[in-house]
Amino acid sequence: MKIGVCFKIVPDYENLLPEEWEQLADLDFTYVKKMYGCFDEPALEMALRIADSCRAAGQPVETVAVTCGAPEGSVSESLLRALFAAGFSDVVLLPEAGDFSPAHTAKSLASYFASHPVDLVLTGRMVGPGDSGMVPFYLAEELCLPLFTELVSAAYNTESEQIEITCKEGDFLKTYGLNGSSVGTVGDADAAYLRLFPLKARMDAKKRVFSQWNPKESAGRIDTDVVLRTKAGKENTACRYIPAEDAAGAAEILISILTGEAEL
Amino acid sequence: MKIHVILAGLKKENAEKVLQRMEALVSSLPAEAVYTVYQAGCEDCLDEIKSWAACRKLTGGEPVGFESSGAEDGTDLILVSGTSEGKELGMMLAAALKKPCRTEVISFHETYSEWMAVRNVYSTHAEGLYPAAGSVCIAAASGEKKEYIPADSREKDGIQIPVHQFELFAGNLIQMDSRKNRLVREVSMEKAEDLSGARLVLLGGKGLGSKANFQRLEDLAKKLGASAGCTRPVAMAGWASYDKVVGLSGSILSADVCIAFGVSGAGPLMEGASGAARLVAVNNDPKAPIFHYAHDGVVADCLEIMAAMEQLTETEKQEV
Repeated sequence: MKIGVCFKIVPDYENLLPEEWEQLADLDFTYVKKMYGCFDEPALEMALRIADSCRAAGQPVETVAVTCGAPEGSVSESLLRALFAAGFSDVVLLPEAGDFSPAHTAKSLASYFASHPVDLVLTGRMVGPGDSGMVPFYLAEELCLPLFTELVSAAYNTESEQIEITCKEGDFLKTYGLNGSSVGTVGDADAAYLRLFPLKARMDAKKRVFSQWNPKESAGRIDTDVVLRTKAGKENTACRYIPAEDAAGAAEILISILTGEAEL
Repeated sequence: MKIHVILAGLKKENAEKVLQRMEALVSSLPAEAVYTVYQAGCEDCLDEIKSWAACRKLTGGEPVGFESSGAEDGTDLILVSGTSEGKELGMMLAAALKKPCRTEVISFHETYSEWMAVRNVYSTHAEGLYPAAGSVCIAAASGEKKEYIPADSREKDGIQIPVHQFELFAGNLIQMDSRKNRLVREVSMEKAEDLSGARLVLLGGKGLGSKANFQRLEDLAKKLGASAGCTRPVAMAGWASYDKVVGLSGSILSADVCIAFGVSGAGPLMEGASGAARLVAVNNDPKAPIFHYAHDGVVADCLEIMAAMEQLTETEKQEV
């Protein structure tokens, strides 16, 4: 059994001050603290949990985490090595420079998985709130694989000898047994964070080397025409601070606001 | 510009808001023709859809063919409703048609040479303008809404809108063999409270400190006749279920009053919470970003304020 996860390392944008965003044209994210995409992290943990269930059933399993990015600058080597500490069999970097293009990234990922087939490719629903979320859809089309969205959990079933995934579909939770390779996007997963690992695992991971793999097909960069601008029309409200001497006074005013009795 | 509108995920409770949102977007474009199709499952909103269609003087539908690139039938832009079904449908459609996809489109903007779709980037810290023509645009649920005058009933009744069986089954649209994956079981979920329609909301952030404190917030909300919502980090910590999340990846509020306890005010959350007519922030950090968005503020320990509100509601109950 082989499980693949596509993830992205992104700057923690909340670490920038509001005034820095006004200098949009000169922003340099290389110095900003990096993190896994907030929906990619549950996908990474889900892959490890599937692997746990495979091993519990005596089923051999490998896990590979794949990301695209520039070896210098946009990618954090410590975050890549941490995945070894967490338990991934392999971590692969597809070198990529230039502006991000979902279609281009999907083509690169697809060429990797076409050469290194897996039973299930997991991705986060999107990198962060408000992002396009298109990579998994393009990836499924490139690989001609079924796409499941909004995975909440997954595990290996010993009886059926299949990976079973549970997806949120409308008002239902539906569980599918996979008969072939598939792509799944992870949404509001039961396990939202990558597992903790002991210091010894982190020390051992320092000796591991992540792989770099260059896509054979040079995928032309498309769909990168974007013009950036600072948020227009964002109004900073003049916040009125509630005049109350103590918590009880403030509570009374807040309840009056809720009941419609108060107008400050 | 020829626009193809696809309506999916419309229900009686949200149809008017969704159509007003679509009206705001479509009316901002130089549309010479607008076609509409809607997803099977929206039939109980047919009246609302036909009213809007009649206002827009929509032509009879030339359906979007998945086999075609879209260019052949002259469609410049495909615009999809910003419901959860619409988002998934629009993204699958874009991938199947190999078109660029602009998700969460806030508005359209005309530049010197072309029309651009405006959407949030960098976790809502900035805006990106992307070429709109030749793309699939998915409307953001939040954003400007525009009233449309309901059409005369005779005009409305004459509208024929094709319905397409856009099934959102597990698998992409053109991979019918996805059905070979075995459906093991299907469990219905408890119907989530729709925070987007709630009039009064108490919103809890990580500042609450624990699952027990969020439970207190829920109990307080119940006593005050309000709904309880949370930020995404609260749901990810397991303190609340994901259906209570407010923000870009959760519910967009249109409440009369929202009181936020222990919420710092991150951009994606505020895209959802700032729709409230009156936002009150309770946070012990006077520099918390939420005070830039809030109409009223209390700089105090949110747990102390909550305890005082609990005490007051208990006192009033005893007096009654």
